[in-house]
Amino acid sequence: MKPILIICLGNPLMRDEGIGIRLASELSVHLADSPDVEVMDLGTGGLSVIHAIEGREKIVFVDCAIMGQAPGLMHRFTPGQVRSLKARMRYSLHEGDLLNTLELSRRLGQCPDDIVIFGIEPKEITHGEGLTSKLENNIQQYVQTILKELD
Amino acid sequence: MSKNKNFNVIVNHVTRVEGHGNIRLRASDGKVEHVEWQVPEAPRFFEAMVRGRSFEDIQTIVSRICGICSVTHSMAAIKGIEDAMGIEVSEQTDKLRILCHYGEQIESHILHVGYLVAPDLLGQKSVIPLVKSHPDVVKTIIRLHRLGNMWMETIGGRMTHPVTLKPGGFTVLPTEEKLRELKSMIENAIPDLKTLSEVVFSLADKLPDFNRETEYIALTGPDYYTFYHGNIASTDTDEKVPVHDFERVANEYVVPQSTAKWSKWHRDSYAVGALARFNVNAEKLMPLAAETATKFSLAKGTCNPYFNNVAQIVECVQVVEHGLQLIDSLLKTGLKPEPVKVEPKAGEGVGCVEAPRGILFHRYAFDEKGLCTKANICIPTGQNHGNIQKDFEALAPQIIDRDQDEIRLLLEMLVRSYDPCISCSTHYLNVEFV
Repeated sequence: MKPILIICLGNPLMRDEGIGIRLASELSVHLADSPDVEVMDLGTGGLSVIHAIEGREKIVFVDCAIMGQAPGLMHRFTPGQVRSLKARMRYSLHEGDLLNTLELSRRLGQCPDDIVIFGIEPKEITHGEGLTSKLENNIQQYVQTILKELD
Repeated sequence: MSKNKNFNVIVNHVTRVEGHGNIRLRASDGKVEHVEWQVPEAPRFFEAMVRGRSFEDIQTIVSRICGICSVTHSMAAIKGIEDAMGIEVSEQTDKLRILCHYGEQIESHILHVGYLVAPDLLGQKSVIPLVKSHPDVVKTIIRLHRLGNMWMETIGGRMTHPVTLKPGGFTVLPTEEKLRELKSMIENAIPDLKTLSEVVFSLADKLPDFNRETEYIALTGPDYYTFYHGNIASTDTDEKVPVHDFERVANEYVVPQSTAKWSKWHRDSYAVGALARFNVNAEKLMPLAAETATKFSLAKGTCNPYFNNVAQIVECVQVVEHGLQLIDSLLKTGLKPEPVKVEPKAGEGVGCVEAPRGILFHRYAFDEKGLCTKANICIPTGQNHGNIQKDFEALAPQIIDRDQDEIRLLLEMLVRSYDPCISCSTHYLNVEFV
């Protein structure tokens, strides 16, 4: 098990919601030979995060995030710096919320201390493949910023 | 008892993209005047996305429809493609697919019972407070959830959104060593499954006592409790309908309160899911699963929708028992590489499998280059919506004199018992900085 794990989340069929998955393929190329870093495309399998992070030293999440910022902006934060605004009815297992999942992991004593989230503000979350140009044009910049986090 | 005889119970579930799943109840003079389950759009937009795409890309695309049912959607698509192009698969592929599919069944059922139902039965709002009040229960759930994840990863190559499944077979086979490891993981999980079963059993009297005669629909197989092969069966008739004719069963129709299509066959609505499969196939359960059903007094003909959760526990035991049998059988013959080369062919086909939450149909047509010209996906949640509405109409008058919070909880629990697929396709963060 490699000590550092980059978990990329999202859905490539929902336009900018798929930014994490797009960056997973880019980062996988850059980090293919890394002895310390693994890149994981976890799609929308949100609760599986609990098992993916257990036993690692550092976790870097890459996900689409509505933060009230300008579309395309990437923001680095830790779970403690934000509060979730997601309304949860618990109707179904399909209401994923990363922050909630991390809280569960923390209470179980399984959550690594070193967690960083790179959130990217979407321009459009709607049905369709491909990112909007606002995000597409920033891909290399996002990749370089995330790689610097690993230095 | 509700002091006010005129009141509304409103539960809003609003997401930015997928629509809504709202509960509306209006009471007047202590009587139910109106009760409604308002539901979101089914994933019709995914059908448009696969049109024009190569048959080789379809299962990858549809696996992203849902993070919980990604193996199921992949398999329905692959079976539909194979049906359209006349592709036969080997016995080895067949067994490995069924095995992979079992990993998803156990993962989804455990998540549903553990994360959504257990908090209701233990009087908590979510699983998080249970870590303090019932730490052993939560740890058991997490270990079983991990088993489901590892199970899918062993065969499908990833915890979710599988990458090894393809029309005709597999891109990569698991090694026999990995299969042996999986076998050992499953065997080691049996005590946890028994513990969870005991916990749910000890709380089963908290499941509401509500029964409504219902038509249940599921796949039925030749000689085992099937999630993968077979024809469509109903508890209302002895007729077995080939999956090619699924539209004759689903009879999708439009209702004013929903942008999603609803379904009915012999009655105004029908139910699919674990309880439906149990009611259709209970006599085919393996010994330990049958014993579990008996322990809960779960018998064929049960029509209490809240008992869907008990049927899920029984099915977890079933897939563990049959899964171990499949692994033994695969190891006995040894895994053989089976290179797959599929030549595209024009045609139309149907793929049908049981998703954890009910029967799922995919229909596709392809041109001679293997490009998709038509797609129709009929999901279990869409088929259950009408039944949730009919349950509401029967349940609400029975509970209308109770406290409004209790009415709200019972209606919410009813929706939860079906585990509908709502807002399944996005998981973006929505945060404010503190």
